[in-house]
Order: sequence, then structure tokens, then C-alpha cells
Amino acid sequence: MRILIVEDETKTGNYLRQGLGEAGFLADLARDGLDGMHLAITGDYDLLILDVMLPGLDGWQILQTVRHAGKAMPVLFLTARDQVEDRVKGLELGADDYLVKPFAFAELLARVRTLLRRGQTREPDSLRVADLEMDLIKRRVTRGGQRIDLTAKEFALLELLLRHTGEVLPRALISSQVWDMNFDSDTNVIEVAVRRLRAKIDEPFGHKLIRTVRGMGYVLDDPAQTP
Amino acid sequence: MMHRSIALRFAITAFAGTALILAGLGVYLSRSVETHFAELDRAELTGALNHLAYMAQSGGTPDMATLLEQVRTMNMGHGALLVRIESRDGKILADTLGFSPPALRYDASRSTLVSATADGRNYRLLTAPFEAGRGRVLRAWVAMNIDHHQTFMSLFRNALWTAIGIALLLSLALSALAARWGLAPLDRLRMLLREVSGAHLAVRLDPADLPRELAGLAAEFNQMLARLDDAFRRLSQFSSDIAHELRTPVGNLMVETEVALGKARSIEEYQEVLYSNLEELRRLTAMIADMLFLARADNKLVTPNRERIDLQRTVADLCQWFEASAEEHRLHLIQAGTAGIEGDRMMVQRALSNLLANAIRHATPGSDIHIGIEHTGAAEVTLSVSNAGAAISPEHLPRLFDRFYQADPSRTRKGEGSGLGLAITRSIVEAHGGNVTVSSADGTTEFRMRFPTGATSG
Repeated sequence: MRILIVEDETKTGNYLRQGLGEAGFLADLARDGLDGMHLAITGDYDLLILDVMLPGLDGWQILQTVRHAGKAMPVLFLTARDQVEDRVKGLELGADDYLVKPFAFAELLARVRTLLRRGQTREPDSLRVADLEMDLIKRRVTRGGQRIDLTAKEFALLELLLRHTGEVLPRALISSQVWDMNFDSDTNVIEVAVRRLRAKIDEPFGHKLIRTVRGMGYVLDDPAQTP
Repeated sequence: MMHRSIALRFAITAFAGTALILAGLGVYLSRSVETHFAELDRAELTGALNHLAYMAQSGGTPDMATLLEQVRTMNMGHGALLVRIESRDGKILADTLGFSPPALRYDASRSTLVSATADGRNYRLLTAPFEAGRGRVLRAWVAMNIDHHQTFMSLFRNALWTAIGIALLLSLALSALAARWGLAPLDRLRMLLREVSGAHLAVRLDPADLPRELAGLAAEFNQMLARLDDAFRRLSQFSSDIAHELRTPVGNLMVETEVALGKARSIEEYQEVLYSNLEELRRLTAMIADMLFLARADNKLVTPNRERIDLQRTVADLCQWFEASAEEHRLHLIQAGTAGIEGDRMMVQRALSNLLANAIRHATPGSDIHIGIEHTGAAEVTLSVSNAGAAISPEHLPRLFDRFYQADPSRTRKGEGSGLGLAITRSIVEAHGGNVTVSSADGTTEFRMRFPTGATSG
């Protein structure tokens, strides 16, 4: 998967390229609007990450030109401005997602993966990691063949973790996806919810599937398979 | 309307009033003096005419020349009277007048007073018919020179208008003085207010020092100063709080990093340092985002969306979201009531979430937390959150919504939020045109958010 990052701030650009590269993507970096636009049109990218404020051309202009050139790859905007108008403008111009600086890298990664996955995979009937299996049709969870009773929210949380197996999910993303709470909260609600889920799906069993990544969020993976 | 000086306005008004009155007085005086002269002249001329008529009747058929002579000498010291006697058809029978009286449509039976000018001299004439024996009716004109009246009148007028002019100038000067004197307290007020500055907001005006008209203004000023003083104090408190709140985590980050770099360590140790730094940085980021939100709310830059919010659903969602957290403290969330408001769903969620988090934090374990939705007015909905817990003393209550305010200064904030939650709740409610209050009594603390049901205010 090739990603083009257009970002003029040196440090931000560097860590984005490094972070995305280490997450398994081929990431290119353009440091101004004109280079960015040129690369976006001539290169073959699966995703664009555009800063709004850029020297030369700004993010909106790049987006318009790219769409005009018939490129339909998803576009994720980064901006320091958190005004509603910006959000509306970006989405009207055909941006696919929007992230306000400063953002957590885990959050960016999760959104990048969601954008790249969009419309690609067939909706599965069940999800499975190690001996944990979730039947999406019967809405049933088993581990090692043993039925586990979950509340609706616990089920939704586990489903989110399973769908993003191996990805670190930030707390903000979890509260937004599972509870539809789209604001910064300084509560420990997610910690408690994850703790309860663990008590049901991890604690009674041999190896733990849900891990806490300090300062970032939570990840569900099969420890036997992680290198 | 132009912002002319008040003193100038006073002076102009007073001056214009005086000028109008004096001019009226001047006109009235000269008119009445003139009228008085005219009456005197008329009396004299009437006397002459009467005398003429009397003489004509009693003396048989008098000789016209004798008549003339008699009338002429009747004069009372203002030079000779002039007489003309005409027959009914206008033939002049006797004449000392020497000029033609103005043609007028006179009433044959009445005497009429008229003025005329001849050879540069001014005359007043009276004419009346009289019987001159044997049924003969003649008409007589009697005239007198009124130059001396005119001279007097013009002198009188000059003197009068000069006096009025001087009086006007005096009144102008006086009204300017009066205006300045009357407005002197404003100057004093200005000098007092000049002392007010950011560092010196404690200045208060003493209404007793000022005239009645300014006492109200002074009271308003005092209240404004008090509000400014309070706001300023809170702001500088906020600044120092920010510095303090930021200093601790930044200090931690620095020391931790320095220590980590002090010697070579294992990868695990480095990771530990980075994780710890990350947590600290995350807290800082959240705090900065909160402070930005508050700053924007202060500058009225927070504009809530306007959408219909079903509060019952919103509360139910939040209860579900907090359910696990509440159960950890053996708390029950109990919701009651239903209502809808217009506003920003995300912001209202956030405001309520802060109150719920606060309630869960401070509730007595094992108790119930009540969330009520009720109509408290024709166009007002109140969302209340009440929990059982230690009472908050009254002096802390109004300040709970201040940024970083802690009722108990000894308590650490670690893991208890940024200390901005309630301030954010207040900003959100106020951005919606509502208000939030807190009360604490009998072991129950209750927060009440009042929202207008209709459109949000800007």
C-alpha cells in the first residue's frame, strides 16, 4: 500500500513517514504543495494524507486538482484548525476523513487502515483470532468452544478489536465507534470497559489476547503469532 | 447625532433661550412705547378736531381763517398743528397742511389716524367730518409733526437693543461658566477613573462625593469595576494555574528523560521511559485541547450546532457509557423524565459527561446517582445530576466552575481529570444560552443545567 504524505512541517513529516513505513506502508513525503500535487497526480498512491496549510498550494487545492485528474483514492486531511467550517469544506471537496492536530499517531494509523480497507473486503460472517471466535450473524462469542455471554456494548467493543486485529486502537476511537461519544473525555470509562471484557474473554483462559499499549490504547492479537 | 460637548450644548441652549426672551421683550417694549405715543397724538388731534367742530357750531358761520388760527394755536408745545378743511366734494376751503394727505377709504362718520411723510418730515393726521352750521358738513384734517417722536423712538430702540446685546453677551458668558461649573464633577470623575488600570482595579468611586445625577453612574462604574476586578483576578489566577499545571508534567518529562539518558540502559528501560513520557504528553495534549476550547468559548467562538436533541436518549446513552465505571464504585445511575432541546448533541453530551464523571468521582459508594430531565419553565429544560456525598461548603460552590478550582486544595488531581471539566460544562451550557448551578445540602450535591428549549443563542 502506497501512501503520499504532503506535510511542510519537517518533524511532523518525518515522523509520519517513519511511523507509516514501520507500520508496513510505502510512504512518500512531499514538503510543499506543488511537489505534493505533482506526485499525487503522477504517482500511483492508495491514500493521500494532506496538510491543509502548505506553501505553494494548500491542501484544498491539491484535493481539487487530484479529483479533477480523475483520481479517486481516499484522502485524509490534517489540520490545526478545528473549526466546523473547515471540516465541512474538506468533506464537500471530497475528503474522506479529517484529523485535527495534534493527533495521536495510533489514531492516525487506525483511520488510515479503515480508509484503505473501505469497500475492499467482503463482510465476513465471523471473526476469529486464535481460539476466540465471534459469530456475527448469531451474535455469539466462543473461546475454545466455550460460550461467552457478553452485553451489547461488550460485544461491540470486542467486534471492533477483532476487526482491527493487531492494530492499536486509541481510546477516543473506541468511545466513538462503540458508544458514539465523539468528545475528549478524561474519564476512565474505556479502561473499565476493557477490564470487564478481559475478565470474560481473557482471564479464564490461558493466554491473553487483549493488550494495553501504554499511552496509546488497546490491541487484540494472538500472542502466539506476533513476532 | 453628533457628540458635541455637553458644556457647549448647555451654553447654546441657555444662550438661545435668553436671546429669544430678550428679543421678545425688546419688540414688546418698543411696540408699547410706540403705541403709547400714537395714543397721545390721537388724543391731541382728537381734541383739536372736537374743538374745531365745537367752534364751527357755536360760532354761527365762522370764518375759515379764524377757525384755522384757533386750531393752530391749540397746539400744546410741539409746534403748530396743521389743518385742512374740505367740502364734501373734496374742495379745499382752508389749508395750512401744504401737502395731500394719503388717499384712504375713510369712514365718513369716524375719525381715522394715519401717518404721512412730506418734505422729509413725518406727520400724523386725523380726519373727521364736522357740521359747520346750516346743515353744511365739512371734513377736517388735523396733522401734527411727529419727528420728535421718531427721533425719540430711534434713540430708544438703539438704547434698548444695545442693552439687550450686552445682556446676551453676559448670559452667554454666564451660561458657559454655569455649564463648566455644573460639569466640573465629570472632570473629577475622569481624574478618578484615570487611576484605574489592570494592576489597580481596586479604585472605587464614592457616590457621596458626586452630585445626585452622577451617583447612579458612579454606582454602575463601581459594579463594572468589581466585575472587571473579579474577571481580571480569575484570569491572572488562571494564568498562574496554567503555568503550574503545565510545569509539573513538563518538569517530570524533563527529569525523566535526563535521568534516562544519564547512562546506557536496556531497550526495556528506554521503552518504559518513552511510555511514561507518552502518558504525560497525552495528558498535556488533552489539557491544552481543553484550554483551547475554553479560550474559544470565552471569545464567543464556540458556536453550537442546532439540532433537535432527545435528552432522554442522550442521557440513556451516557448512562450506558458510564455504566461500567459506575458499577466499579457500586453506584447506580437512575434517569427520569424526558424532554427535547435544540442544540449541539456532542457538546451537550460532553457537558453532561463531565457532570456524571464528577458525580461518580464524589458519590458515596453504594449510593444512587439521579439524572433528571424536567421542564422548569415555558421554554426551559433542566438537566440535573445529583449524588450523595460529603457536602461542599457554601464558599466553594460558586467557584466550582472556575478553571482548575479545587474545593480541597490538598487533594491531588492525578487521574482525576484536568480540573477543567466543570468549566467546560459551564462554557457549553452558556454557549447554548443556558446556565448551570450547583447546590449542596443534607449530603446531596446537585448540579442543574438549564437550557432554553428553543433556538440556541449565539
